[in-house]
Amino acid sequence: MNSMKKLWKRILCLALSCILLLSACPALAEEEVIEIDFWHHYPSGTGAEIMTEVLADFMEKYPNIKVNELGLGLGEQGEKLVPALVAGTAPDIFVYDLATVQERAMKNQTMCLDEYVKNAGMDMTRYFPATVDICTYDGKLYGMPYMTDTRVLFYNKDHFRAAGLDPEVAPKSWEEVLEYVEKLNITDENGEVTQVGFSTIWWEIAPWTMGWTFGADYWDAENNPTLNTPQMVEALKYVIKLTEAVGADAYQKLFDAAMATGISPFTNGTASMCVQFNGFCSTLATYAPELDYGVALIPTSDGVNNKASWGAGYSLEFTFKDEKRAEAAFLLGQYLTSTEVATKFLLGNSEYVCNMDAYQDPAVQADPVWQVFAESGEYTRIHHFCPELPTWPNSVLLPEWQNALMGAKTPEQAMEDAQKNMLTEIENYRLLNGL
Amino acid sequence: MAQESTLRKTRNFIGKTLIVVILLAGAVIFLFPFLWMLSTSLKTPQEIIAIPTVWIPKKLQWQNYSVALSYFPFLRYLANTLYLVMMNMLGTVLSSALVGYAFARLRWPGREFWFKILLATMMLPATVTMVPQFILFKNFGWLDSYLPLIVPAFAGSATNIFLLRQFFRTIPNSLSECARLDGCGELRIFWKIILPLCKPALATVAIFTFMFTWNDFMGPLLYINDKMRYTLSYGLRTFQIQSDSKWHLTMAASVVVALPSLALFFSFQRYFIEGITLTGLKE
Amino acid sequence: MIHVSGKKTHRMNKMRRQEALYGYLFASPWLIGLAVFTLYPVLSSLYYSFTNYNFSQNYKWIGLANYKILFTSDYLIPISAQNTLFFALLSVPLNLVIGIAIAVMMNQKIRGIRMLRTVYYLPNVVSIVAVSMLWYFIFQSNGVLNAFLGVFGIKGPNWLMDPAWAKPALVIMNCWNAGSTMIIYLAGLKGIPTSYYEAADVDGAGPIRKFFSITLPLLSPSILYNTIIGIIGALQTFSTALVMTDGGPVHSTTFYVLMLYRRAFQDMRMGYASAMAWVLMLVTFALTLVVFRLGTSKVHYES
Repeated sequence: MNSMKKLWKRILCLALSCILLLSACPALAEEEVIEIDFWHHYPSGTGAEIMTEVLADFMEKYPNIKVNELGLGLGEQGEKLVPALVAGTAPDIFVYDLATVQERAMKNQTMCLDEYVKNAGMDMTRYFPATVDICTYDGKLYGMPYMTDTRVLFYNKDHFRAAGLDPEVAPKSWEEVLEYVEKLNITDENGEVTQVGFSTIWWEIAPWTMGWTFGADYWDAENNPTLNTPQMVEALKYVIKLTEAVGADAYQKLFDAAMATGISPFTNGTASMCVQFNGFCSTLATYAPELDYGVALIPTSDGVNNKASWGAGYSLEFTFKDEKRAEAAFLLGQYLTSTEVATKFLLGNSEYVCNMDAYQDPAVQADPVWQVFAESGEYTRIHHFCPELPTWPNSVLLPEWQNALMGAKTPEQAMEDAQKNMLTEIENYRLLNGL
Repeated sequence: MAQESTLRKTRNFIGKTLIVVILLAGAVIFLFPFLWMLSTSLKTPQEIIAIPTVWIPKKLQWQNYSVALSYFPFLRYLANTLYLVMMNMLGTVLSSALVGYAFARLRWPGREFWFKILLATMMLPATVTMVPQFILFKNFGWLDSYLPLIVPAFAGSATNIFLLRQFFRTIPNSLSECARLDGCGELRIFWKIILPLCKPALATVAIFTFMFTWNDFMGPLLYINDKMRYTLSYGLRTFQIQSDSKWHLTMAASVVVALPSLALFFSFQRYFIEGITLTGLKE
Repeated sequence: MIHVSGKKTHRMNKMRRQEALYGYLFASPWLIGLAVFTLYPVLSSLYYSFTNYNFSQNYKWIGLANYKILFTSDYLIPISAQNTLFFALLSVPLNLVIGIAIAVMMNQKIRGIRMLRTVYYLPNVVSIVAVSMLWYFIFQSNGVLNAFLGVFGIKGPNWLMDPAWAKPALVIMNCWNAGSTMIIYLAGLKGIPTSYYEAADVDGAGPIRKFFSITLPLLSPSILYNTIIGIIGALQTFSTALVMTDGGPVHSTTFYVLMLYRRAFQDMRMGYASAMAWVLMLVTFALTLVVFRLGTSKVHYES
């Protein structure tokens, strides 16, 4: 019995010393798993499927990082992110509005990425310059350009053929557009308008896009507003002319339905041309799969200069919780914007990614429509960020533009008023912030 | 005498018929939105944007429903929503009745002052209290849970308290006085005497609470971070703001989400059938 | 004698105190909820209204500056205030009349009345975004509404695209939601003892007389409720305008709270938006007090 006791004692001592040894050896302990939260913009659908796949690949590549993902729909991100950013509960990495990155940088809500980019050796010149610019505040990078979009001219090849126009040649200047419209407007034997040459719905030919194609700009080098330039007035006068050429009846009979569904009249064959963003292709695939369409750059005032398009988009931004999580989040961001993954989203969900190398993929090179999209990207501009009033395009410029279109004001007066209102808003902001 | 009552009977009959005719005509107008939703949900995408307008789809696209419901975990969200709705209905009806009773049938110092405060709380737009409230719940540690969506229901909702106050005040004081003199406790008076007389009002509060919670997406959006715990109203939103809005699917999902509300409304109608006759009232 | 009345007063005092205690007890869920859930957010917004809070840590007290700009130099305030008042002045009375009319008609024991009532409640059940497409369709210049008006020889306007008619269009849309006021009035009607109507019948009163002498006065508590809630709701209207017209065309449907929402979450001027909110609250409160005062002479409670 005594020897049994001694045996048990020895076993116990051995066990204890093993435990002590193990706990003193950090190398033998289980590797720490870093958990990060990621809010992206795919609540469901193809995008969500691709994202799940991509994240699974990422977690396989980095087994010590666990990503908790959540997909938020367009328009929801703001409502969920703003309170979260204020309360400090925002996720490590999130997808949000590219055009307002500087807003959050200004308020110290997001992380500065310069150090991380340098250490990782990320080449920011491989992303559309306009998108990198918009993510920069005070000379430093605060967001990764993730996805953007661009607008191009869509035209109906069948309509062109029927009107005796070359279906492979799209109008290059706005004057040409007027000529085309005249040929493409169709009124049937009952006097009913059944087809118009151009869709003049305001969210398609947005005021700012039109202005850019006439050489107008809205902010000068010192960030003062310049809404009332002669070029802008010229653009406005042109749109009035175009609306008349298309005909007032168009709105009454053909465009109303488009307004209700938010789907361009181009889709049901009532308009022969429209300006739409690259994602319009998937709308066409759903609602008009048989439509034979072509794409081209948006026309300009003289067909040669002032090539322009408008883009918005998504950025990847980061909040700092601790060093390990920040690093893990950055790795994810780098992965998501890498050429390999960007190409996946481009091909799988027709996303207009910011990574320019993704467009070198053979499948993209072979697609004539994507060729035009890629070219348009070179001229695509993003709204100037105005800290005094971030919503200036819709709240200041658009209402006056609409006033002129409706004939309530002359184009000159309308733009003067827009300029005046913009200055008032800036003045009020300065008053409120003691500047 | 007989002639008079026949005249009255005829007058009543004509009156009733007239009313029914008017109501039926109005019903067409009120039915229209739902019929439109139904019709769009059964169309093909091309039929939706076609000019001239397609009223009745050529072939009913029932598969739109199964496709739409596959976009989000429908049964899961249904279960979550039902849970939230039940809790809210319970909490709101109970607490609003209690508090409404206090404002209507009990006298206590400061009652009118607090009533004005009650009204005032309805007048501040939620936009400006949203973020501080979020921070409040964060400090409670209630983020990413259902707590912010359930617990406040048990504190009563201002509109429902006001509504029940109005209804409780229409019941004669004498009823309560008699019961009190008989030695009835206040809670007993509340539960056994007043509440049963206000069934239509309580049913109204229940319906309103159901509707509000069923359709509330703001609450779940703000306070839940786990997509498996979202609600139907949230699932519906995933359709509504996509860049290529698939209207046929959106409408199909909307129809499905609307049906339970209708079912509830219809079944709660039984509380609106009988009027009160107040017999047994000791005058 | 004095001895007896002293006992009575003592007993009454005891009962009064008990009643007061019960009052607080029954009201306690709300009072506690007020302190726990409502106080902090409300006081925060009041505080923010005196600052230039923009959701960052970097803000400061600016006193009455927000209010000054609100009342003097913000050109959108008069526009949005006018829009909101226009909407409230039209929709509140309309909903009142329509709600009562429908409820009185629905208060019949006819077969299928349940079905009919559910039909009238349908618009409240349909989600706003699904409905927005429908309403655009109805309000088209060659749409259903204008076709209906055409029958009477009226050429309807291009409703939602016309700055002059966009607001009336929203008022019409709002009337469709009369279903919720209908059930409140129905509940109220059910509380009117049938004995009153029977007595009136004996006196030979016609339906119109019965309506104005019995129904209306006894419905007055519900009418007061719907009026107050209607005013509060109308002054805060914004989500419909946001979805349907986004404040356009040309600011004609930019309502006060829509503007507030934009200032708060899009322009990040939360301090200013809070000031807007408090101004709205004070105006609404004043209006409500006026309605209450007018109401106390007219509203009949049976207690």
